[in-house]
Amino acid sequence: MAMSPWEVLGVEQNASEQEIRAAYLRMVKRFPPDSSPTEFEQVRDAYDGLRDSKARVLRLMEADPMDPLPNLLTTAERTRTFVGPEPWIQAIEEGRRGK
Amino acid sequence: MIPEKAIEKVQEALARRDYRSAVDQAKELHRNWGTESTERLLVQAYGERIRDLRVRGLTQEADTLRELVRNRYPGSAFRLDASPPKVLGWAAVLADPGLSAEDRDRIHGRIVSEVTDPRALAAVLPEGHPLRQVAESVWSAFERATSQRTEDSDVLLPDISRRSPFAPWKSLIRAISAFYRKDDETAAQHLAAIPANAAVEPLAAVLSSTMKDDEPGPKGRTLSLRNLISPRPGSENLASLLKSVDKALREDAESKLMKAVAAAVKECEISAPTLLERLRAHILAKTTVRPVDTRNLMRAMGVTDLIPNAYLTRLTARAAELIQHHERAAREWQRFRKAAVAEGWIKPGREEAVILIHAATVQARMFEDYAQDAHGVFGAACELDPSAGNFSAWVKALSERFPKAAEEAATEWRRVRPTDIEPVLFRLQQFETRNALQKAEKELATAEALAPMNPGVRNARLRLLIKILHRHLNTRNRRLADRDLADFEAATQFRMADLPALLPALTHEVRLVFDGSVDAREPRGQIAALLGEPAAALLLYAVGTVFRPASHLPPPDTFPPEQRQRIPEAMIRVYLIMRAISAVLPVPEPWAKELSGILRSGALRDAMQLRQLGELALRGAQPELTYAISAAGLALGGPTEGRFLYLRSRAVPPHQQHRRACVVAASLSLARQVQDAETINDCLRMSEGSFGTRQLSQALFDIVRKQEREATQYPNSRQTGPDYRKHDPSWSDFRSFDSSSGAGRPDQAFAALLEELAEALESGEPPEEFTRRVFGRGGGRGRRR
Repeated sequence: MAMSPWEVLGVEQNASEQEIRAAYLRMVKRFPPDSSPTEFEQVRDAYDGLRDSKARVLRLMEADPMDPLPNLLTTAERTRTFVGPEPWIQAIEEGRRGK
Repeated sequence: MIPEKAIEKVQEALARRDYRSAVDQAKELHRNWGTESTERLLVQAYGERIRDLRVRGLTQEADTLRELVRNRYPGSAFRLDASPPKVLGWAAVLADPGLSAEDRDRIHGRIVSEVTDPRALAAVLPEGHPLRQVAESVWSAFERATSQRTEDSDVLLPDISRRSPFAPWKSLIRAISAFYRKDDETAAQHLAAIPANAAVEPLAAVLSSTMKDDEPGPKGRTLSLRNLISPRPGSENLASLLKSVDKALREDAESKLMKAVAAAVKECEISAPTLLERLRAHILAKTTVRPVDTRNLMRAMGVTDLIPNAYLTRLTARAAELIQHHERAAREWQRFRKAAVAEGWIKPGREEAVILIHAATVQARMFEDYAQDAHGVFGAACELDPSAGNFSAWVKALSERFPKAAEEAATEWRRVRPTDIEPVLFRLQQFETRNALQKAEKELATAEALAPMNPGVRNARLRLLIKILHRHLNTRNRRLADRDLADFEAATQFRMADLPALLPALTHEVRLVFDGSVDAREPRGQIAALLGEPAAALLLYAVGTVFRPASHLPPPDTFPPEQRQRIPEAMIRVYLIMRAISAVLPVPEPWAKELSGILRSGALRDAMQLRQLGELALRGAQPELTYAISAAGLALGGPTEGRFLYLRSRAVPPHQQHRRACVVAASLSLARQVQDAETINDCLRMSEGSFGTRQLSQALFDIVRKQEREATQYPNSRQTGPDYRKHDPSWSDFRSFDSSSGAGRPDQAFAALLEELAEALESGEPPEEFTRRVFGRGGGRGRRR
């Protein structure tokens, strides 16, 4: 499923113009056009869709009420959870074994 | 006090490499005493047993046992991996002051690439050893960064230099800290400093893939950690329950739906509490489309009501639009606007105006009293943001049904933005419609002063000159009519393309009105010199239909064969002339038949010509001819296929709603592929007016293209043409939108009929012809009136 421009830039839907611009610059730094052309294009398209405030509001008004409900799970944002040091240590071992 | 003898027995068993009994005895000891030291001893015994299993090649058993011990004794698990003799050996060597720089670097290198747990190293080094202190501080920072939010200053580890063997650990810890602060850029910078051979490199890979939300390295290797540190809410059970809700909604089974909703909400509370509010919003929006008892639904969702926040109101507004419940949609958009401003989604003012304009546009589609309220909403939006786009939306939304209100809007537009040409053109058109030609001339003068080269203004001059001439012919004022002809001759607009051919035709009309029967050979000859013979006859006929009820056109068989072949070209040229003066060219039956014959013979294969002929037939409200042209165009394939599918959708009888919707959707997809803006706009306008924009599956898209190409015959009672309902799984949705909403299917068909009728009246199609065409009576087997 295609990501919304907010998801591409990693900002909330109520992000301000400054926040959107900052996120765009951050993403461009991470995906420069010469080394990551596909990602860069995606980031640029997302920014183009949000930089103009009118276009952004129109995008904000887009929603499909008939979208299948399980899509809620696949598009839900991942959270970041503290799990303590042990799983990390275990992952080092798993990673080394996989090498 | 733990009996030392028991401890010795365990150590003895280990010394004689009887690891099984060492583990058994250590287990017994730990069961009885359960202290930290008995746990350490037990894990040590397990560690030796695991190593022994590996030596014997029982790797799988060793791994299983290792995981078991790790899970059961997570606090001591690191001891399983410690390799005391080696580490001690390194540490001892590092303590040697005579160690060469080269050896020191080599040992540091091994620590970088082999130490997977700083505790293991610290545990085997003597108290006060500098490396032990570093290992302990690394572990402490690692524990903090993985257990709670830390700032960068909390995990600086200033004692660890870039050359320290723990430098990769330092980078990792600072990256983890930044990751949890959602400062991915800083995290990525720290991760970049970790060398590929470092023991902690697998964690760098996990973090990196988690931040990018892409697939991690080899499957399963680091997925478990990623899912732990960055889980997606929900569970497989929840996904399946959500599918059940969708299924119950499709089946229209209310009691089944309530049970499914209650189960899904309950599971969501447990496995994805952060999604609960959104889930309720989506369910409520879906039941807007397929209504259910709201009280029961709320009970099933475990609430009495939902807060009308921006997320919910956006969905319900869209759902109301989907079922064409305009009043509700307008109301919901207003609620969305308020909520969106309050929740910081949008800023008050200009951004708010975007929603107001949309709400007012929806409201303008309602019944009269309510629709007129939209006038005020548009006014409020234009006050917030007086942009040309907003004024244009205001005028456009009201122009069809409320011309007076639209004129007021245009006047307001002109007042606020005096240099815009659009409101002047709109007012000019309104005056023309009302036949207020003097006012129209005055407005045109303003338009010409503002934007003399604007095509709309130039066309308006032509249109107005024709209307004025028409009036003077009706009032039988020859002096003014002659002056009008002189104006035509002087107007620069008439010197472009084929337009000079219009003057002899108009002069002929003036003579005909004032002098009675006149010889048409002279003007026809003049026009033929410019456009060719069949076009001359057609132009005289077409201009005649503008001024008189009856006009004569010689049948095609009166032309010699070489001229007959030029009939399609003549039609296009005359059509373009008539379009320039905003007049319609209705192709009379014999000429339409002639064109159909040429199309059937396959002699006309120029897509551009076919496209223009299609516009001609469409403008003349001649669906059978439009259909035949679309068939010839579809046979060509290529980049214009989308346009010919659009023509086909316009030609299909209005009662074939589903076919029309599918054809428009296919046309839209193809037009988007070739960026045909005109067709995209036409398709969207058509969809918005009746059945909404649909998305076809690839399979259905292919079927529509194939079957429409094959369907060359205009539908009649015997041959109705393709029917896509059996190929379209969402057909039930399409049908239920029609029947379950306030705007039911009969209304929708009625709206389509009205639209068709308006076009027919505009084009001058006789009512009986319209009835025959739309309802298919007679089916080509003769007329019944």
